[in-house]
Amino acid sequence: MVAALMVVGGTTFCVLPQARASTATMALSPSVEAWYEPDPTCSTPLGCVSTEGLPTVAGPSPYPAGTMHVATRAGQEAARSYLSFIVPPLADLRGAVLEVPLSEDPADGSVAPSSSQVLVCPFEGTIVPVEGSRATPPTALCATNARAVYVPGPRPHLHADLGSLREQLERGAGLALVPDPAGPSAATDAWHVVFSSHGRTNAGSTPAAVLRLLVASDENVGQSPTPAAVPHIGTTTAPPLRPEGMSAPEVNTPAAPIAQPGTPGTTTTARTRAASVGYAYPVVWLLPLAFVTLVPATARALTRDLAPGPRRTPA
Amino acid sequence: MRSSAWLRDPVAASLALFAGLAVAGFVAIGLGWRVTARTLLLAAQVPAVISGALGGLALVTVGAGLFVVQVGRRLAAVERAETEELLDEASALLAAAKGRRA
Repeated sequence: MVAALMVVGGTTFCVLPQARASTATMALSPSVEAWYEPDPTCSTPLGCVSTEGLPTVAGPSPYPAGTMHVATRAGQEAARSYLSFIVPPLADLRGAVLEVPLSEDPADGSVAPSSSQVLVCPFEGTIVPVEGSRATPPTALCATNARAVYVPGPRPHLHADLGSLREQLERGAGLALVPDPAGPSAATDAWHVVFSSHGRTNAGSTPAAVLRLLVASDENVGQSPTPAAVPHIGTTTAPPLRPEGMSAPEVNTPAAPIAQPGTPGTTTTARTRAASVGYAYPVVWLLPLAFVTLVPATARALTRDLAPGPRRTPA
Repeated sequence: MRSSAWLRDPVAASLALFAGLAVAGFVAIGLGWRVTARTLLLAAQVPAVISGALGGLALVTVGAGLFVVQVGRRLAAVERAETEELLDEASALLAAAKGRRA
């Protein structure tokens, strides 16, 4: 009887949900973006000049605020960008795609984006939102990487299939966009791709990069608006987590007010969104049945006569 | 033959059940570690630690405790059975001695 109950329960709670399982796409915007440029002294024949103990603050970026850059000049890396995402806990991440809409406006610094050779590498650690910093960026772990391919139209963007970076994304790693050092480049090569950070709101700016996660889920994932807080990490606004089809990148949302010194009452707000992703192990639905089975079994075992088998009668 | 006799022992099933609880606890701890280690997101790590580590620890404790209790009951039952057997033999000897006198 109990065994039959277990079988029925298993069928109801485990098999059927898996049969209904499908794939859904979740789109994430970066929570933090940063771009770095290498120390210019490193390109001299004398090598890098030690700046230990000196402030690493670079001068003001010559590019518009809110723009991110990946560039090569004369065959040498001139800029790289880092994107950090808050990936919610997902039971089964099946794939991921990074799409980076590009600005081709020369005023933003764009130069020959169609000849760009960009690699997407994972990195671990945290970043702060800096633009044009000459500080040492987090190490890009390019042993596993994905190539970002330039797609010219209808809107120019970089497209990278991150299927090989699934494990790193599940662990919460960020993504570094770096010039491919092994790419087919000559010493005279120069290209510069520009994209927008999620906080760039000026008119005419391109949408921010989007990380699309392909997850296996039931109907809840990507369709249910049930809010469940995704925690805020770091000091920046939490990323909006939205299901596919909401076309959020096209919506220019006003930036959250940033607290300025001497302006009391101004606070930074954090938007939190979330998705219901269910249990990581659906087998937990069997726990009540296991409890119903185990309690009587334990009670019976603890009250049963444990005397060894029938005694042998003396001859 | 010997193993089937052990399986027929009334204590075997219960000991296997309680040992299984302890093993399930270790499995839960392992799963909790696996979920915790695979992400840097604190919101995913906390439930994994609570459900996996604490739940697993509880299962291990309960399983091991019941196992010890059951072993104690078994030893007590064996001792009781041996005492009864001894009393039976003494009673039989006494009856035999009375019959011889008569």
